[in-house]
Parts: sequence; C-alpha cells; structure tokens
Amino acid sequence: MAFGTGLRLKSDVAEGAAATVAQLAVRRGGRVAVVTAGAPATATLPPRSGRRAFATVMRLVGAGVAPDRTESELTLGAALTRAGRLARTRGLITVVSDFRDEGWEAPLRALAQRHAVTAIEIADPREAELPDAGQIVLLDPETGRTVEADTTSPRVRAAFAAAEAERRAAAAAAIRAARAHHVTLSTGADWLRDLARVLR
Amino acid sequence: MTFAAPLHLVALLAIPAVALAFVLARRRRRRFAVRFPATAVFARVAGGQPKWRRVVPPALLATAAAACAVAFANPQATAAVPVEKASVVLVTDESGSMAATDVDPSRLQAAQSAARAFLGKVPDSLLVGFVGFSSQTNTVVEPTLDRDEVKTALASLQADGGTATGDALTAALDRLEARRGKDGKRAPAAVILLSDGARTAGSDPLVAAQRAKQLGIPVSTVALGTAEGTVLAPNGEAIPVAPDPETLRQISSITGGTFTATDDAGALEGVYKKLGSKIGVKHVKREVSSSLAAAGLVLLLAGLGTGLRWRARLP
Repeated sequence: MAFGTGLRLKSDVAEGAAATVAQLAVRRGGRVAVVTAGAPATATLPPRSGRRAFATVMRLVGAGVAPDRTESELTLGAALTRAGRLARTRGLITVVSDFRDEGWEAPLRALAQRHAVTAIEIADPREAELPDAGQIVLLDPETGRTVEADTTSPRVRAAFAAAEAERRAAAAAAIRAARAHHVTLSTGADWLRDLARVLR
Repeated sequence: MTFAAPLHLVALLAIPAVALAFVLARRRRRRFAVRFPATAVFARVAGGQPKWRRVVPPALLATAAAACAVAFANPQATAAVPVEKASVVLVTDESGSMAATDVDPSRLQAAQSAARAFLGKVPDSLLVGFVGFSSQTNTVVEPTLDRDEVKTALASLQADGGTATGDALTAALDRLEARRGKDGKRAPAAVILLSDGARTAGSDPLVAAQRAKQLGIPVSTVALGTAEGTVLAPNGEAIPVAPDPETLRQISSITGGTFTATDDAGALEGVYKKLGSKIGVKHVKREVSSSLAAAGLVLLLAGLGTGLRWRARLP
C-alpha cells in the first residue's frame, strides 16, 4: 500500500478512510474495533467506545505499512473472519484494501450476511495502465519478485491494462455478489469527498 | 591453425570486459527497479519471456566478437596443394623371393595392392612412373598421368630371378633427371623403393643413393617380409629369403626419404597411402580471416536481430 503516483500514497488514503469511519462511529456514541491485515505484526482492537478508542484506532492505522517483502501472517480473508468473530452484534464493517490479496471473497460474503459491509477499494491511477517508460524492472513490494518489463511495446501495455481492468472488474463483481457496498478511492482524486458521498 | 599476428588475440579480452559491463548494467537496472503493486498481474500477461531469450542475443554477440577478435589475429589454415610437374617413380622388386607367403597373401600381391592404393591417393596432377626389377630392370614406365599404364605394369609383375636394386634405382633416377619443370629447373621428384631382400645382381644401390642425394631426389624405402620368410626351390627345398632392412634404411637416410619395415599387407598399404598423401603436395598456409570475419558479421546481425525482436533493444 506504500505506493502512490497521484496526490498521496495509497496507505495515506487508507489511513484517512479508516480514521474518518472511526471518528463517525465514536462521535455517534458507538463502539469501534480494528483488525489490521497484511502487516508483519497484526493488531486487533476489540470493540470500544470513546475518545480513547479513537486514539487507539489512529495509532493502529497510523503505524505505517509493512516494509517490503514481509510475509504477512494474516491475509485479508483471515482478517475478515477474525473481524466477524470480534463483532458479536450487528454493525457496520468497513474493509479498506486494494483487494489484491487472494481468497477474500468467501469470508467477505460470510461477513456481509450478518453485517452491513462497505468495501473501500484503494487504487492508484498508475496501477490501471503503464506509461511508455522504456525497459524497466518492476518489483512487487509484497513478494519482492522482479519482472523485466518492456513498456515500449503497445501490445504489452494493452495486455497489462486489459488484465488489470479484468482483475478489478472481478473484484467488483465479488463485492457486489457479497451484497456489500463498494467504493473506490483514488490517490489522484478527492478521496474524502468520494467517501463522504457513500457514508452519508 | 596458426596465427600470423597472435598478439592481436589480446582483443579477446574485450569479451569478458563487455560481459562484465552487461552484468553491471543489468544489476543497475535491478537496483532501480520500480515498486509496482500490480507486478503480479503484469507478470501474468507479459512476464512469460523464457530465460533463454534473455541469454541468446548477448551470447550471439559475444560469439561474434570472439570471431572478429580471432579474425583480427590473421588465422591461417594449412592446405595441401598439388605441386605442378612433380613426379614419383615406384620401384618395385619382383625377384623370386617376392613369392614368399610370409606376408598375406604373398609379398608380391601385397606390394601390388599397396601400389594401387597409392595411385588412388596421389593428386591427379602427379606424374607416376614405374620400375619393376629382378635380376635386371624388367619394366619401365615413364612418369605419366595415365594411371592405367602403371596399373598394367603392376599387374604384369612376376616373382622370378634375383635382386638388382642398384640398377633399378639408377633407371628410376635416369627418368626423373630428364624431367624439367616449366622454369627449366628439374621438376620436384621422389622415388619409392620396395624390396624384400639384399642385392644379388647389378650395381651397388648405395652408389645410386649418393646420386639421388646429389639430384635432391628423396628415396623412401620399404622393406617387406619377415626374417623367417622362405620360398620353395625347384627341388622342393625351402630357401630363406629375409629382407635387407639395413641397406634400405641407409638409402633412405642418405637421400632424405623415409624408411619403413613391414610384414603386413594392411600396414604396407597404409605406408603407401601415407606416402601418396605426402608426395606431390606441398602444404601452404592460407589466410582464413575473411571467412571468420564473415561468420562474425552473421553472428553480429543475428545477435542484434534477436535482441531487437525479443527484447526490443540491442542487448
């Protein structure tokens, strides 16, 4: 998530979205819980209310992203399952992720059967397509895998754009199939306005 | 293969240097890798280029560079070219002792088939003459390009009589001395003398050998037969007919020819074939730089072509 070519990093948008949701919950006297996934040290905050809970949320989501090439001990799917166990009563569950993980579809569906789920997808404009940047080496921040890319080839760029669009379409379809709300926040746009439009 | 300018082979050092530059450039590209979350997606659609496609273009270029560097050192290959107007005379013993069967099938037949193998081996431009001798010089074929003439003379050999080695050698030298090359000088010549025994008639072969030395004609000698070889006399008595390798060895060493002693038909044929491939040809060094340079050019184009085709760049 430490990636961003627009106005800010994806992790910044995710942190902001999480903080916004948490503040709304606390301000209305509700309780808030957090499960972080993908980081080397996953943190869990059971449901709490009040300003102290909000401060804890801010500390957890503000801890920054995992360094490159760290094996996450908790996948998105596992984190969703854990969140389902944590939230005993019906509530609103906001999933902030770029949904690049695998195997989250079924847990999301299970979660959405009891709770109102909003999937906040964080995206960067550059992820959708590659510019003509010559011969470059792409590095996957999570796995450390490198791939040599010939971005001068229109065929390669078109194939990548198609594959990435397909992946996002598949993710959107899975979220829709789980009957969850879906909102996409881009690092290159006014994410707060986009988020507010859904939460209202 | 030899090199006219072996010092230029130092240019080969450029190859490891360039290879190192490639590796460093690649490492540099890796160091400045672009972090990209969608790498997995990219690898799925466009990362499927096999490793050999990455390796082949630089390898082709390296080979091209090696070929050019070697060509730079002026490599020379030795080629055998026939000598113009060269002639050789086969002097073959047909004394009675050649009927001995200590060599399979007999000394005479072994000599005949070896001579035929020799005729098949020599360059077409070589003049071949023939002298068959026993107690005196029996058959003389002037050095000629007509192989059939020599073959006919070979076939007519009869094992009978004594051994006039000196006379036969003199007869051969007479024929060769008369031959002149285009430039008026005596044409290059050689004699192959095959005998299976000591002289029993005629002049001293060592005198003839001295003359050959003066003429500059090497006489290669072959001693045929085993020391235990015998022939049956008309009265049914077995007469020992051992070869005389010592005299033959002296003839060859005086004249600068080669000497071989053998009692095996296959080995004799080998000796004749070897002489046939040596006599009448000279070995010249020929530059092969241009063909190497051409190979280098082809490899260079192949390397650049594959690089552009597969990797969209010069490797």
